[in-house]
Amino acid sequence: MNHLKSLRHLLGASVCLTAIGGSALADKLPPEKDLSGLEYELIGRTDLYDYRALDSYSEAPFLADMAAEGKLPAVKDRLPKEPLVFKTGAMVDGAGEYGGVFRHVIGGRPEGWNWMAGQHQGWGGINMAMQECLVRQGPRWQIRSEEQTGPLPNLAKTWGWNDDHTQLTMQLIEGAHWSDGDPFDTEDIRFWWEDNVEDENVSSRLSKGSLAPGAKLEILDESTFRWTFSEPQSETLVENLAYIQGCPGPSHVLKEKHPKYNPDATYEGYTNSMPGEALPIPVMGAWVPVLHKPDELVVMRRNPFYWKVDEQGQQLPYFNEMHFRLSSWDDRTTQAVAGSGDFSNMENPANYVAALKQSQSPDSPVTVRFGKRALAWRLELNFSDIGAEDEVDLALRDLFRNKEFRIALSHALDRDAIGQAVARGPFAYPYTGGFTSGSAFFDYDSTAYQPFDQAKANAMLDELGLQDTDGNGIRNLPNGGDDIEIDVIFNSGRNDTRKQLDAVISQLGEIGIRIIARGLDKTNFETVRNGGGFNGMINRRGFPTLTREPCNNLPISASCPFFHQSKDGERTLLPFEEEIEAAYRTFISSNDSAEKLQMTRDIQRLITENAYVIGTIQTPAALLVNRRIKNAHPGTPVYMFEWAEDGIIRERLWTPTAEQVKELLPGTIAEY
Amino acid sequence: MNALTQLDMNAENANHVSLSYWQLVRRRFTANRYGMAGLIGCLIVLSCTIFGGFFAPYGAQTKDRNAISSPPQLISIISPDGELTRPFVRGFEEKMDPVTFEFSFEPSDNKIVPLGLFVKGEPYEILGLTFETHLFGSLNGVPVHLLGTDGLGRDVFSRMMYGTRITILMAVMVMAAACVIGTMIGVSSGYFGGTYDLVVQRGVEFVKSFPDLPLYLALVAILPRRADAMAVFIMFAAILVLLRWADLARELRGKVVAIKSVEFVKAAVAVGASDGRIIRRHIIPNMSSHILVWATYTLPEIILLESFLSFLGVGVQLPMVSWGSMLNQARDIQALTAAPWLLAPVGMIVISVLAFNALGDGLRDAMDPYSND
Amino acid sequence: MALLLYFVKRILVAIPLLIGISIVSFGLVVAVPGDFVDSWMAQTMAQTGMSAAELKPQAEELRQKLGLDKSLVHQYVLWLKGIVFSGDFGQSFVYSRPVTEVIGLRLPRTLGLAIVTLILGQGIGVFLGIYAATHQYKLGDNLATLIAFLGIVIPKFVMSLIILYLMAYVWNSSYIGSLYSPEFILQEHFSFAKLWDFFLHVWPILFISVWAGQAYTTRMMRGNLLDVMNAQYIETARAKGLSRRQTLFRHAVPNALHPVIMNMGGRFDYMVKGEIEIAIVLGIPTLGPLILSSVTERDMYVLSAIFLLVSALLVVGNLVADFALAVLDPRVRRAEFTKE
Repeated sequence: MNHLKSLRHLLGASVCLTAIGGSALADKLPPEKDLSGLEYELIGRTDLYDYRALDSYSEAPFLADMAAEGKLPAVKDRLPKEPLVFKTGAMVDGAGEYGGVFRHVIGGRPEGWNWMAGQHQGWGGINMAMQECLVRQGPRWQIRSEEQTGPLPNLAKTWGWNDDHTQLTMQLIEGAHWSDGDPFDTEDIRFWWEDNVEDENVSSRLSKGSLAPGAKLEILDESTFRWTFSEPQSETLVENLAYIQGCPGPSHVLKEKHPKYNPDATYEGYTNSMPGEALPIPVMGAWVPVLHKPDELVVMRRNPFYWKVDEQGQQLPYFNEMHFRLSSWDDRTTQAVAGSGDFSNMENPANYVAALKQSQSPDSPVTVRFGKRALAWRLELNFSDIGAEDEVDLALRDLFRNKEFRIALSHALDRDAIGQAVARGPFAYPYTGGFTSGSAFFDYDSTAYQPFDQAKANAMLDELGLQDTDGNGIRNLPNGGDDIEIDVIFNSGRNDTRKQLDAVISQLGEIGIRIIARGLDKTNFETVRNGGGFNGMINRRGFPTLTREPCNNLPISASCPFFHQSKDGERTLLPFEEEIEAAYRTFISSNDSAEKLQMTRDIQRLITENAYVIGTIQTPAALLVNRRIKNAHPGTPVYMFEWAEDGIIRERLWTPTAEQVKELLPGTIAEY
Repeated sequence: MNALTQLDMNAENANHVSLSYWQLVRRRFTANRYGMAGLIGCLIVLSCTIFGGFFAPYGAQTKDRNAISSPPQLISIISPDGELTRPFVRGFEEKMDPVTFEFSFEPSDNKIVPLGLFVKGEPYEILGLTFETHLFGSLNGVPVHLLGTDGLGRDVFSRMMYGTRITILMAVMVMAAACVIGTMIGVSSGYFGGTYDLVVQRGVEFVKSFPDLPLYLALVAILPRRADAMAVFIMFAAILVLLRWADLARELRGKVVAIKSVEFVKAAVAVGASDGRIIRRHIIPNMSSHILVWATYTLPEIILLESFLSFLGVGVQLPMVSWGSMLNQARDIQALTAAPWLLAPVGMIVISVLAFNALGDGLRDAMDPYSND
Repeated sequence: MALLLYFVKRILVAIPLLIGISIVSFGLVVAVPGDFVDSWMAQTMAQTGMSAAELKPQAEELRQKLGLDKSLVHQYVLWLKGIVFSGDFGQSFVYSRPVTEVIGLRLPRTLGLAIVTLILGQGIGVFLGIYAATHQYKLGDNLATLIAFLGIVIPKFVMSLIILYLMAYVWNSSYIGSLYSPEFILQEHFSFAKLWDFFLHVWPILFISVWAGQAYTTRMMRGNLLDVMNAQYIETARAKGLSRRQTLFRHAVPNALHPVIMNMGGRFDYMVKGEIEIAIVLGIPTLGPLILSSVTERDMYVLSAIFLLVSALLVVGNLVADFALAVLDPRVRRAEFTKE
């Protein structure tokens, strides 16, 4: 009980101290009020799970029947030599009962099933339910801070460095299988690395060169492999091998679709080699997608070869089936509140009050818990000439590279008003880029703030020579150029973003900058974003750690961040971007925790001082879980090291038999 | 057959002395309460179009930072002590529930905002002239929001008044353009006949075969990406005109074909009147009642269509305000839950559609010589 | 003979109409800046990380294969040929799937719902119209007129919004934004339970569409019937000793019904439009939401295909309606000939 820790306490303390402290930065963020106030007990790294052989194993009854009929190998043969064993002590409700359905509702749509080529399956927990990665981040929130040495093991059981930290050797779990029974081994790792990550023609989530400079993979045996780097690296590098970057795919199926192994294949064909309705596919995850009705439903059934068990030897997962209703993100919350969905990351602040009100009633099917502020929105202006359609676009991009212009825009934003426009209440807090206030790396003192000051913004724009020369209320580009009209793309599925954009349009309109909103659906939004075909983009981002999807935030490779991609292989980083990049490199290669901390602060300062992005607000999210779901730890944050779908550890969730929802495909498994 | 006799009657009426056709129409129309109510409604809506800036206490873009998503305020004339006083509204005491974070707005007797008529405020324009006097406003400087505010703190009532301008302007523009085109094409094709008529007939049929909503949406998609709001507005109007003229052209053509064979037109031809003169003096006047009815029925249709497209965000663009684009904010169901008063423009849509329809019915009945009431 | 001539004539008129519609549909595709290969390149670049220069040869090849390097007329002919002979409407670049697959199930849903609402709307409208006319100026008449008026006056998208609100926040309904509950999605065969489940999901479309749709019919029917009942032959019939009821249903109603039936074609267009409008707001996966997303994303092949299909179906639908009417009522075909 001595590890009881109040998040509010932690955060409140840092705010108080720093507020008095003062610093060299001119403007400071206002004090923050936290909404979470959760208390929970933290545990050690190995208290959660370990890898060991148990005396006996058991399985879901219908699988036992199938094994008895000879349709499946015996459970002992399907499991690895030493399966991953979840410890009962870390389960809030203990070992579970088999059966039932876990019902998700998501707003995304599967793009295709070839995740190694960068396709997503619709987000909201569906990607994670089928992809298993080398290491795991989600459950880290529960580990006490002294033991926060890095990600938790997953497919990689153990790993170690050589003395000068230039070699990383990883040991895979031995004798695990893909859901079709094919052995999982280092060939899958080799294929993932050589033919996806390192192949520039495949848009893998981990892009070539982004793990570490000069990384070379060497396969030592069926379960051991080693990277060699040209410079010393740190443990931080391992974080890149977690979801969504370090998740190998089934090489035994994909190889024959890859141009390297099949001369008739094309890269486009490879990317689309696992199209939407062609199911099932082999996965390492706890559930296998077996049925996809476009715009309606994805059904997943339990993976009979899943390689995790509980301490009683029961093969996981407990749930036989998992559903993903293909609806909208708002509907996810609506259905969770109504009880027809089991889970929601409530992320749209506009929903909060209604959901809180409904959850107050004693017979409400859900519980609602707030986390810290971990979601932030910002306007990103395109610094690169890529995707520019005409002279006006080029002139605008030139302007965006000017710090004064960005600072002026930042001063023109009334962030309180933006927050209240999204949802009335104490939810929003100003954001100016960098780490969100809920991040462990957030440092108040290193955060610059551009408070709302229209006069200042106007003066700065005037100074830049951006006058309204034609008197239509919109400033013109220098030398009698066109009106400053910035088209801003946004994901039209997100009402929270749309509302902020409305507020931003109105506020920037008052200083003579016209914003043209361009709503795109998620897939198309990503296409345009990755292609650089936008002048501005308003986006919701998390920034919990430097290593979590760094491409969204930092100039770490030629195509990162999306708002400053190289054009025809060339780009000129702005001086402060070079500083950010250098600090990032130091951070990932250093093993000195003081130096690392300093780097995070430097980056925070550089980003916020230069208005690298023009932040708007940051908000907390709340987790909604149906009350019949057992083992859902009440402290699970919506977003910390990973999204709650991972943090809640779905493979060990269960429901008492009496409360189980009827399965749609009872008694079946994926058939290949 | 029926149309023919009717036109006969009209023609006679037009040429007789006692009561002119239009006098008759007016007499009959004014006797129709329902039609008169419609007329009054239309006049109110149209006056908002012109004097919107005067009726609105604030500008369409003016933000009140202290009243975000604030609910409507009730005008009262009974003071807290129970006495009759000048009209006033109560400001709100905002309270937040500590558990659900829900805001409640209690009208407070300590925050009384007295209202006055002809109050000076933000400058606005009517027909190019700038004024500062508004119909009503607060007397103590604390803003008054009769229909509440939106998420950015903008006064819903004021925006609705300004929105009337764009919505009605759009409707009238489209109606007028479609009317001119439809009349010209319909009358000429009916009058001249022959191959021209045949071609026009096919063209009309062609245009009428399009499902209008999908076509509008498709045409909206090909508008340029970085067009400014005014350009989009005009193109949007042009798209609406595109399909609207066909109905009128077809109906008028039918009437002209019928009227051509009527005695007085034949007589005019016989005495050698020019085509232009016959059309202007004899045909158009006989079409005017029909055109008028068509126009009153077309306006509400355009209002509804414009509202829907703007509601979807593909019609009138920011920063222009129309009723439909105001409703775009309510498209987000959560916003609607938190601030149902964002639906206020629906009231204006309903009133105007109702009024124009009623006016149309009234006119039609009044212009039909056989109508029995 | 006259009947046959009439049919032939109507068909001859419909053919150029269809060709015209196809030209407009094709025009929609061409009018958007950038062709299919440009979109393909942007998408491939984003997906694979290849550069524009690397993709150029492939792009040219694709352009040739699709015939996009040819003249517009040639392209149009190719496009039309694809549609007529192999049902190929091109490729959706948002979904990277053939347009036919994207539209696939949605079109019949929209049409099916539109037909059901048309029948219900007309039926209820006729009934209310008769009731109102026979109870002129009584409470029932006023009530029917009021219901009809509200249907015309309240925008359908507002009604949809209100119903959506009620479903989401007041009734906590899980029947939002889909067609079936999960337990019925997999059920391939028909059952009444499935039909009922479907109804629970789409009733707002039926309710709003029918309400708005009956309004016009009610008013028309009421007006017609009042006119007819004042006509001479009704008085003659009454004089011959037929009861009021008999005259009404044997003489007056069939005559008053005639223009209502004549107008069915136009009403179908209205119902399709209504279905689209309501489905967009409620997010029900029929054509509506697809049209809107294709507009915002400029997925022109999808958009033009929807436009073409819906227009063509309306033309054909009108044709069928005309034929049916001509068979039932000789006056129609005669009128067609005397008009010109």
